Amino acid sequence: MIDILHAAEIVFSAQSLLMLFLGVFAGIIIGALPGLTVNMGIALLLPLTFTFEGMAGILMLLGVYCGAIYGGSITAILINTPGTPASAATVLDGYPMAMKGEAGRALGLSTASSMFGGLFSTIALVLVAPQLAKVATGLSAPEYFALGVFGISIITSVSSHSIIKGLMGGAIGLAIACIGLDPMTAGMRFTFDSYYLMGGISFVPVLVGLFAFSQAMLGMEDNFVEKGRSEDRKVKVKIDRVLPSWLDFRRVLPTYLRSSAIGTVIGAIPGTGGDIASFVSYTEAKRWSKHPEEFGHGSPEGVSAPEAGANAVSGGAMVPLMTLGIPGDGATAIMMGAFMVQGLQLGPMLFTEHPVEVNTIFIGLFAANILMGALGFLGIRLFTKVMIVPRKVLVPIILVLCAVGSYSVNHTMIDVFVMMIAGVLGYVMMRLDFSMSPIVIGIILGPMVETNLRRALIMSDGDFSVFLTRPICATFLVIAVITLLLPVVGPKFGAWRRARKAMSATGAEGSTVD
Amino acid sequence: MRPANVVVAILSVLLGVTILWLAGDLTHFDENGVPGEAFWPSFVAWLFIALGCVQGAEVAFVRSAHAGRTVDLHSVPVRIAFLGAAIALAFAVLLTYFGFIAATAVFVPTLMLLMGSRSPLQISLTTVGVIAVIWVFFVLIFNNELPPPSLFE
Repeated sequence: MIDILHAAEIVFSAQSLLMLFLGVFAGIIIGALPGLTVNMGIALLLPLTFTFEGMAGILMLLGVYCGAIYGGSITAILINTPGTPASAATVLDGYPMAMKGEAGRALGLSTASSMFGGLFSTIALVLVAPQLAKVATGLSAPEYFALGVFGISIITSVSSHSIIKGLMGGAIGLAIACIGLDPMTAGMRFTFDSYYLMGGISFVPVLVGLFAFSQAMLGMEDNFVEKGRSEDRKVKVKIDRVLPSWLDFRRVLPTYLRSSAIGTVIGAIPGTGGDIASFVSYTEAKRWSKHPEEFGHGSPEGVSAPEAGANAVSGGAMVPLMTLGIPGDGATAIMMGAFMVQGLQLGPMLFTEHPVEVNTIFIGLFAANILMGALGFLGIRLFTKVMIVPRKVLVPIILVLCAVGSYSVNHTMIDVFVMMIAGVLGYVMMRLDFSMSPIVIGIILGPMVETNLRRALIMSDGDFSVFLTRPICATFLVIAVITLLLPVVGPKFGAWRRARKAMSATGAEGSTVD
Repeated sequence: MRPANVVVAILSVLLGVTILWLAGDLTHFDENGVPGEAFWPSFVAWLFIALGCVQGAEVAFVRSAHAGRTVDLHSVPVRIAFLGAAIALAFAVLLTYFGFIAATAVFVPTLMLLMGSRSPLQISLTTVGVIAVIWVFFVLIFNNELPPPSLFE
C-alpha cells in the first residue's frame, strides 16, 4: 500500500504531470501527422528523458506511446489517411461518417473508445502482470536464455516484407550488441583500440537514426513525389459536437468491451500489434453488430471497434515487457531500451526490486489514458490544424531534433555522426525491404541472451542439454521455434489446405457429372 | 529486386566471414569448456552466412518470392533524400565547429530550399522557431547542454 501511495505521489507531482501532458500532447501530434510513426515519436523523445531524474522520463514516453496510437485516428477520420498503421481500419467507417457531416461524432467516438481501450488494458495489466511475475521469479540463467530466444523469435512476425531480411536485421542487432567489453570477462571485442567503442555503440543514437533520421529521408523523398502538395491534407469537413451522446455511448458500449478485450489479449502476444488488433476488433464488431449493413458506410461501431482494440494494445504489450522482459514490437523494444538506460531491468525481478516504479508505471498509464481522452476532446480542433503542416517544414525540424537528441545523451558529437550513419543505412535497408524493429530487438535482447547462455553453460560445465532437460526452458524454446517458423510455414500450410480443398471439390463435381 | 537481393546475400555472407576473421584472436572456449569471448560473435557470424545462403537460394529457386517488387536507389526522389542526408552531415560538421545556433540557422533554410520552400517568411519563421523552441526546452526547461562552438573555445 505504501508503494502505491509513493507511486501516486510521484505520478501526481507537478513535474510528472507536466511530462505526461507533454508526452501525450506530442504523441497525439506525431500520430496525427501522416508519415510519423509511434516508434519515431518515442525514439525522437527518448534522449530528452535522460535529463529527468526518476520516473518522469518514463512517464513522458508512456504518454507518447498512448497519444500516438490515438492520434492516428484523427487523419483517418478527417482526410481518409491513417496516421499510423493501427488506424487503417478506422478509415473504413470514420471517413464515410465525416463525409456524411458527422466528423465531430466520429472523432468523439474514436476518442472515447481510445480512452476506454487504454484504461481497460491498464486494468488488465494491473491484475495480470504481478501474478505472472510471481510465477516467473523462480527462473534462472537457462530459462532467461530461452526467454531471450523467444523474444528474438518474434522478429519473423514484425518483419514486414521478408522474413529472411527480418532475421538478417536481427543478426545485425546482435552483431552491434557484441561490440564493446565482453559481458562476462570484460575483455575487449571489436573495439579497434577506440575508447568510444569500449562502451559499445551507443544504443540511443542508433535508435534515433534507424527510426527518425531514416523516416525524415523518406519524408524528403515523399515531398519530392508529392511536389510539396499539402492541399490533400486540408480538412474539408466541419467539426461540430465532439462529446459522444448518451445514445451513441449506450449503443457502442458492448463494442468497447469486446474490442478492448481483443486488443489487450492481442497486445500481450509478442509479435502482434495495434494494426492486427484493430482489424480483428473491426471484424468481430461487424460479426456481432445488429446493423452489419452499416459497416463501411459510417457505422458508430465501425469507428469505435478498431480504436478501442488498437489502444488496448498499450496495456497488453506491457504485460510481457514488464514481467518477462520481452518487447512485443518495435515501440515496446524502444521503451525497454529507455527503461534499461534509466537503470530498470525489466523482467520478474522488477516487481520485487522496484515495486514503487512498477506502481508508478501502472498509475502513469491510467493518467496517460485519461489525459489522452481529455486532450482529445478539448484540443481536437488544434490537432486538425497541426496535421496540415507541410513536410518541407517538418523534415528540417525532425533532423535538428535527431542531432540535438543524439548529442544530449553523452554530450559527444560522435553520437551525432553514429546516428546519421545509422539513419542512412536504415533508409537504404528500408528501401531494400528490411524492417527496423528486428535490429532494435537484436540490440536489446542480444546481451541478455549471450550472458544467460554463457552463465547456463558455466552452471552445467559446458553441457548444452541443460536447455532441454529443464521443463520451462524447453517449453520456451519450443514456443520460440514455433513463433519463428509459423510465419514461414503457416501461409504455405494454408495454401496447401486451400489447394487440397479445391481439388477435392473439383473431384466431387466430376463424380456428380459422371 | 532480384539483383538487390543477390547483393544482400553476398553482403550477409561477407559480414559473417569478416566477423569470424575479427573474432579469430578471441577465446572460443576456455580450458573447462566454458564459452569465451568469441563464442557468441562466431554464432552471429554463422547466422549471417546461413541467412546469406538462404537469401541466395531464394533468389535462385523461388522466383515468385519478390515478384512485382522493385527497388530503385538511383531515382531522383532517392537522390534528393541522399542529398538531404549529405546536407545533414554538413550540419553535423557545422555543429561541431560553430555550435547549435549558427549551424541550425544555416541548415534549416538550406534544407527547406532543397525541399521546395520558396517563402522567405515561412523559412525565416521556421528557422527562428526551431532554434528558439529547442533552446528554451533543452537549455532553460530541461537544463541540458546544446552542442557548443568548439572553434571559439
